[in-house]
Amino acid sequence: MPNPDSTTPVLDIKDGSLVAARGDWQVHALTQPGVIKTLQAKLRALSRQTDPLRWDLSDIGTLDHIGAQLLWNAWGKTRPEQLTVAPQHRDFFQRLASAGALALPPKPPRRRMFNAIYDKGREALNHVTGFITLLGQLVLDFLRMMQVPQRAPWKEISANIYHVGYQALGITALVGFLIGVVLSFLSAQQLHTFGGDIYLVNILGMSIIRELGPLLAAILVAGRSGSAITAQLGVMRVTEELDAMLVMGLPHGFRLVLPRVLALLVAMPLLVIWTDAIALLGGMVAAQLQLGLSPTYFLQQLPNAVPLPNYLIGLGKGAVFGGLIAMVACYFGLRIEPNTESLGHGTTTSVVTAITIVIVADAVFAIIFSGVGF
Amino acid sequence: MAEQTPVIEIDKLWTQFGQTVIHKDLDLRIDAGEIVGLVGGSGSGKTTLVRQILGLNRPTKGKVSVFGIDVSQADVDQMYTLQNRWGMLFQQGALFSALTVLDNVALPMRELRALPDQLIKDAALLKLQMAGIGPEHALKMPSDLSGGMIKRVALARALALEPELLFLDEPTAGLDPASSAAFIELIRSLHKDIRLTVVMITHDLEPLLALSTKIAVLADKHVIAYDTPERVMKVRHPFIETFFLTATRFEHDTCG
Repeated sequence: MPNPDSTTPVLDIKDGSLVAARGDWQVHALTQPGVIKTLQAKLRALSRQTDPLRWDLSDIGTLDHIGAQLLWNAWGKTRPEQLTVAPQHRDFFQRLASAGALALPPKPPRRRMFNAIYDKGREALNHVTGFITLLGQLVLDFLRMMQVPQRAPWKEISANIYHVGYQALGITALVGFLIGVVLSFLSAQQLHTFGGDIYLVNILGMSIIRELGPLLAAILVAGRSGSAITAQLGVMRVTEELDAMLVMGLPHGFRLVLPRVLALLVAMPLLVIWTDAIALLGGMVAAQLQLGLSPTYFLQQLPNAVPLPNYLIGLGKGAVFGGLIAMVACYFGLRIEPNTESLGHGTTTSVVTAITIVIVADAVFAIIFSGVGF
Repeated sequence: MAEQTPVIEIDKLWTQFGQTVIHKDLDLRIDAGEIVGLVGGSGSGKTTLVRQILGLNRPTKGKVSVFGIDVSQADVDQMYTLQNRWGMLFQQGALFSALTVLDNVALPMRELRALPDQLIKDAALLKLQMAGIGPEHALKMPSDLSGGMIKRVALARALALEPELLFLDEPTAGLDPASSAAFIELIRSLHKDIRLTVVMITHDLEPLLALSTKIAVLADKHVIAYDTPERVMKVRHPFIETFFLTATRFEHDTCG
């Protein structure tokens, strides 16, 4: 600092009742370390004095609204009786005076616990009815599409299949292969101690085709495409594209929800087939290395170890999971409000809900088909 | 203080996006205390120029200095001082949608981490009041505001630290005539009180002619005229003629 005395804001008290201010009463001078603390302490001491003070601000170099506000607050938000201000600074205090008392509106009263519980319950109910509405609308839109197939959003459907299906092939293959290898290694070690090496095919085939394949694919797709769908619809809300569509007579259900749900219904079973195949390949490689089971034996044994219904259950699961993921993603996407916080929150909720619902649905499948395929 | 460095100095600026050249050998020198109206056709690179002055975009070639500091060469400390000395009103407001109106305006002051909370609150409310937003709107979220109100809150935020240099991108677009007039009045009185330098992109003739001490016309990839409004209007150039002529004709039509 070249000359600290001339720029630092200072209050001088002369002969008891005259307060003279000098320096720059300007935000960057005030925020120099320690400056504001000293000033506040001085102002607090002055406010305790009972006899009227005379204020002389004519020596202030530069003033801004923050500096003026500091003094104004110290005066108790009124102009002191005796005040000397340089003419170029008069407008600042004029503005403060004409602004009057600027009080914030009262905050809404704090919620009682019962109210909070009631709100939560209402919200949950809201979600349930909202989701049922979405499902109903989806059925109606599907019937409409069946009636006039030439007006169906085929382009959107095919673009979505490409995005959620084809572009997910890499990641599902990688994860599927590794899970297959790991599962095979672990099972092989255990089976070997019992001398039941040949049952590895049964364990791998059953667990991958019936459970892990569909579940892995669904969780990956929920994370990948579910979040993408929610964010996409959310940004469309922020940029008012959703409103523009309504104005042009393009209903959200028919043009946004239906193509995505159909695309996932088609793409997910295909992804399940793909994940199953790659995971079994991984298992086969590990079996060859660990137990010396030849791939030929593995493939020959597979049809005997895993009856066909298991495969169909896996595919059915895939389709249902896909539909659920798309519906959850669309539901939360369309509910996003036009601000960044809601966008982030909506996307998180969408993915978490989608994965939870997929696992719940998987449990339901396990119960329903407990007697099938063994 | 007589021969001070210009606030903004642009020297032989080239801007190129791919094959398209936006600016070609653009020179501009803005002195302290000016209110510069920046005009030009759509796509003539007005917003790009302002973004380059602010260091948001890098020029392809050439030098941009603000307060004597080369923006593209500045280190973190230099940039920090610059950022405390300028304010920008974005075309769409660019308010933080997760913060209330009051917090949006208070944010730049809070970031200094020195001012007491009560003072920040009062100062933010005053800024809002000056921009024409009453305290009853202070706790609303930006998404609950109308377009004109967003603009005024954004102005209050741009003015929060009382910058010496203020950039305004289409400040009066989307405002009703009354708010537009109030806006012009506010900028004029601030310009008088705190030696404010303003760079204003605008298509509205009213604020342009009412506020500008100088007008810079951007056409043919460089500044074709930079002078007082009266003199700029006399320059013979197809863009300047159509820009001011259509406006005056339109005024005659509506009045007559």
